[in-house]
Amino acid sequence: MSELFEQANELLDQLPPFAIIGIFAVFVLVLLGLGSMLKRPPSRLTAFSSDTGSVLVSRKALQDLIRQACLRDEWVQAARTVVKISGSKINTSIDLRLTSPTNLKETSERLQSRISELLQKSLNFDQIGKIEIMITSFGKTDVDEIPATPDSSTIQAKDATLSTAPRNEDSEHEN
Amino acid sequence: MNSQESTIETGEAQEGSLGQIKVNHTVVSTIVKMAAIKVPGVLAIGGNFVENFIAQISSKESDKGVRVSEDEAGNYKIEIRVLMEYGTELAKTAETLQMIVAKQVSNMTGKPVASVDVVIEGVKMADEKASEPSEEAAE
Repeated sequence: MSELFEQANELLDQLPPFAIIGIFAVFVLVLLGLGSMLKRPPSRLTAFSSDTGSVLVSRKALQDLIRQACLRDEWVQAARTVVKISGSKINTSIDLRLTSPTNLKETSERLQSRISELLQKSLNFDQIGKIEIMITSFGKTDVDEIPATPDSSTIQAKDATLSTAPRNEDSEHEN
Repeated sequence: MNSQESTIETGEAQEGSLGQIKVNHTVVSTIVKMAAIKVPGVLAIGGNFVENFIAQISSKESDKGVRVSEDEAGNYKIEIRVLMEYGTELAKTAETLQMIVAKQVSNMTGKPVASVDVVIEGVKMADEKASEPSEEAAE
């Protein structure tokens, strides 16, 4: 054991300082990577368990489900969903592209109640957290192209949060 | 005995018996897939991208999306990853899937099923799924 330690010491002495710093940096990066992997939120949620086994739902499936629910609305052109599972609660944030700026509040509220109803009925989830809706654009602009603007306003709709970003005129002209 | 093979008891081992019947887990996973794909609301069987990729290179195509193991008592423990159709009651469909798979496997192998864990990996419209090459149907 002591020989090994001495050999490692000798090796370190032979190495130039920048190589030692490099090795140390790689070691730290590996540690950080492992830490972030362990801290990652669970990607699956247990819908129910019985004698016959468990039914689990992946985060992707929840995102798909919510996205499809949004796209079925006549005012929604595109949707991007992010689901975060904290404990047994589901928090959802949705970026929406609507066909027109009318019926903003109605559409958002309708979607919120539809999503919460869907999760309750379809998966028996009762721990539904926040459903945040962010209107990012109208018309043909791609949702992915438009970043959420810092001056977006938030209004309370029922018990969930509804956020609306101002209409992005420039990006609409581009398309 | 191969870990991929399970043995079905055909009565007490005694002189003159015809021997044991061994069922490979790959066969069980095929039974699971064939039973699962017939359940209304189930669009496809398949795991995530990494799992599908590993299955692809390891030529274990039939294991894709289904994991079969055995508990201490030798009963099957099955995990199945599915893609479901939007509009179906997911919990109900998953419950039906559990029952059908357990019944079919125990009927065909004669061995009890301890648990069937269903993992819903995705939700798609029926026509949307057809355009995705990565998610294969069990057939």
